[in-house]
Amino acid sequence: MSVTPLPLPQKLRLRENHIFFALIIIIAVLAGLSAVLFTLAIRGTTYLLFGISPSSLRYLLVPTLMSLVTGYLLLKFFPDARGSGVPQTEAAYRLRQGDIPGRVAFGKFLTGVLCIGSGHSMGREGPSVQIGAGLASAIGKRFNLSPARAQSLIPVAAAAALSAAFNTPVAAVLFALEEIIGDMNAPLIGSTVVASVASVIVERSILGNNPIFHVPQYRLVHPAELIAYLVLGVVGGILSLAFCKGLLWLRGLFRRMPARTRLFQPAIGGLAIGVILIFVPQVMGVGYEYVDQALNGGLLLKTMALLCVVKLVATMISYASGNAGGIFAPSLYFGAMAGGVIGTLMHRFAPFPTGDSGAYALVGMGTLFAGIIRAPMTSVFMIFELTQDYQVFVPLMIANMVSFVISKRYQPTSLYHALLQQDDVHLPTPGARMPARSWRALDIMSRDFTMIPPDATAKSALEVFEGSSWQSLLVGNDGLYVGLIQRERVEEVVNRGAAETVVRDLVRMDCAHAHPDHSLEVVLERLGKNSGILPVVSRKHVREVLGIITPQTVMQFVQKTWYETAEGTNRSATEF
Amino acid sequence: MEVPRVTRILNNEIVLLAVLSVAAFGVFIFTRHMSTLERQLNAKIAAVWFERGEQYLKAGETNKAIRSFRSATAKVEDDPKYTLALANALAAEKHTQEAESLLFRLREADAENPDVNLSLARLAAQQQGDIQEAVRYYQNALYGRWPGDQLDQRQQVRFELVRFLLAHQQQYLATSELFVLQNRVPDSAAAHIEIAKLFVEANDLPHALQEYAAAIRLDGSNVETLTAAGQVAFQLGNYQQAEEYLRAALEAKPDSQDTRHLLTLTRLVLSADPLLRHLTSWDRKNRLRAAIELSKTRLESCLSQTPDDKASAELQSLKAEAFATEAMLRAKSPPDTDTVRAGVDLVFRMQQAASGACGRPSEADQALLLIGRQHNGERP
Repeated sequence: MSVTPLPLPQKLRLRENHIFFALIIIIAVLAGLSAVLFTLAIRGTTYLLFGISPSSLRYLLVPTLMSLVTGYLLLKFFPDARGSGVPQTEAAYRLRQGDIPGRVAFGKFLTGVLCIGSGHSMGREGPSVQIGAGLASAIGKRFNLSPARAQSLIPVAAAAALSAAFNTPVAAVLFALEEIIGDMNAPLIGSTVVASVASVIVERSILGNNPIFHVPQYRLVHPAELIAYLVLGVVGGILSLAFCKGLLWLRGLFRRMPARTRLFQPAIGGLAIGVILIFVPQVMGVGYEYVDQALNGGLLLKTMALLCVVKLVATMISYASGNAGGIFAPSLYFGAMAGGVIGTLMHRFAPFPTGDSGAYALVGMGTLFAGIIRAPMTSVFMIFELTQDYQVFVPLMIANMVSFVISKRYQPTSLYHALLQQDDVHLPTPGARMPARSWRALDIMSRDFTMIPPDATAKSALEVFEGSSWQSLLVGNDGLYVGLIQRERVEEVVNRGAAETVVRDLVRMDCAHAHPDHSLEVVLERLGKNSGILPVVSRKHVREVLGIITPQTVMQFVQKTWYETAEGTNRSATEF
Repeated sequence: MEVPRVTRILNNEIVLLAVLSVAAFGVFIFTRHMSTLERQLNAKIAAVWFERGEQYLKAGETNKAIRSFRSATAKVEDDPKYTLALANALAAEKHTQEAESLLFRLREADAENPDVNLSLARLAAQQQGDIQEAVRYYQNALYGRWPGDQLDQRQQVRFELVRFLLAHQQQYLATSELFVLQNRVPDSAAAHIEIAKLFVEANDLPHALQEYAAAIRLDGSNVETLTAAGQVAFQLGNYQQAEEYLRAALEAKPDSQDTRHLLTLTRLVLSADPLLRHLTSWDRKNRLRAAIELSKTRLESCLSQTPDDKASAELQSLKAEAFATEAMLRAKSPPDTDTVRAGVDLVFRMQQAASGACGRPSEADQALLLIGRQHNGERP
């Protein structure tokens, strides 16, 4: 029997696995190159805009005017390019199966260069992650990959971009696992490692093998120094909290401004930054040269304290006013300054011998990173990669953990997630993530529900209640809800003779909600808090109601599942 | 015939991958080019900052210089010239920790760089008490890799090391470095003078005189050198040489009182010393008698002034000894060398006792004291 040879097109057939592997390498290279180009473009723009030694007027005008330009671009063309890029990438990975529109990557590059290059106190790592992920998403779409594969390209590109932007390949892998995927045991670990390595090779072949920071050799001079690192952890935790709360508060303030001011908000931030730069130009842009000085004991105590506070405030202003740039580098910056301050004070006043202030600045970087970014493993390995010294592990872990615990205790939602929540995007917390075969709110909910418009009267609401067995009803318009009203409350108002009261005034705003991926356990717990009705809302927009869950829908679902299982069992029993 | 859709897609994937690979390569080339352009631009900016830093340094504005050098190093990290300038400026402003850290980084990259080792040596010297470390870095600098046109600078480093050692009372080590220098410096008057001064500081007067002599051979008109050489020769008891240098110095600068005084003293020594070579026995006898006579007069004068019985008794005893020696010298035969030596010793003891009891001697008495010291094996 002869075997018919395969035609050429079939010989050349690539399985999805092969394509995926090839794409990992190509995307890693492109993400790495984009990160390098982003860095070069920022430096070039800074030089073009500020020259060698800028005047006070230039410090004032450049960020203000450039923020007007970026404000327009961000409002009209690239609304998703504001801010860091890490939470947006995480949201795209978790909620949109890795879909990032191509223009977002382009917009992030352009606005990021203009914002950071014009002096805003922001980092380049977060935007690099989003640019790389955007490229990966665009390429994935061209190859018609399965949704799961296309989604997998996002953390791979994120690791590659961060690896090239920060020159720490191991920390980049951990960041992708810890922050983007949210699972340190993710099966993508191999792909992210390959991408990270490929990217850093490309980066080093272009920029050379120069480390970002020149870190002096680390030394734990006396075991009692660990107490000093504990103190650093406490201070780091408090500073992390101050930054997170301050940023969220200020951003909330900007968001509450009238919509027509949106165009000018980045320029308001730009003006404030301009004023700051006149007096403290050291907080301009990424600012790694000053971190390097702190690491090498080149800054005085007062200078470090000043830079820590001013950089913290400047970053809050730059970010909250809606400019494009990250908080990765700023958190390292004020971490180094805070560490330097603690180190200098310890050196002067501690009753035991201590290391140089540079050692504390180094640990301080990791401490603030752990407290703000909430990626403790990434922070430990990042500092280890910078020092390449095992001695730093113990002090670093002590300080990081203390800072992390304090920050998490008083600000349970991580900053990236809290920023997304301000945009009405709710990412699943680790507790909310369930194994694939569990019962989820999506399976239980009913898509058949009624919503009362907020401007309806109490009388008409009571009519709806009387025509049903519901004890609570959703209030809202066009599928977007604003809260719940309870039958008891409506009856009370009508009986009081205020039947014309509008429903909006009776709404209960503090009601709980569930997301489609929440487990039955979470659903039941939250259902108990509401009065018999639990809206299931989109994570992309928490006001968008996808369905409702009531005790009845839960019972119906349980009965249905029990019936299907019982039927299957009976059939099996018959077959065997 | 229509190509099956699946085949088209499959082929498309390969083409897409190839296109992407080519695009990635293109972006790589572009990025590399941009990086090169940036590096060139940074080099220019860094040069501007460096120049500004140098100007600030010259103007004594070290803090501004530090800021400028920092900007230069921020633009071009791997240029040791900028980093070294920053480190030196930081060290000058006592920012020791950062300066040290920068210098260690430079040394890690090039352990044999003499400039880096020299800066480390200066830093260690600045930190009081770390003599060994400073000397180690100075030695590293000396034996580092010096470019051919900087050999003179290497000798300057050795001079600096010698000065550092002398400042820290390490005369022995300093002298051995000076011996090396003696053989390596160019044969110029200035270099010989420099070495001679250092030998003086190291208390090695014979070598100092040797170096001054070499300098005078090359430039005999330098008054300061002549004076210094005269002084060293005088201290060594080499009065004939001292007279020669001091006379020349005084001829060139007749109004120098110190030189005149020293020359007078030298001439008195030369004219009064009974043990001077090439003298006849009669001359020796006459000089000794004159010396005893002069010392006796001083003793008598001193005896009339001193109320101290113990001192008077000693002076009286010496006076008696002087009379005895005078009596012996009255003999017609010339005295032998031992007698002359004994006489010189007596004169010395008389002058010493008189100086102890009655204070500052006259120039002639001072000359006799010097003669006595010299022949007693003491340095004048």
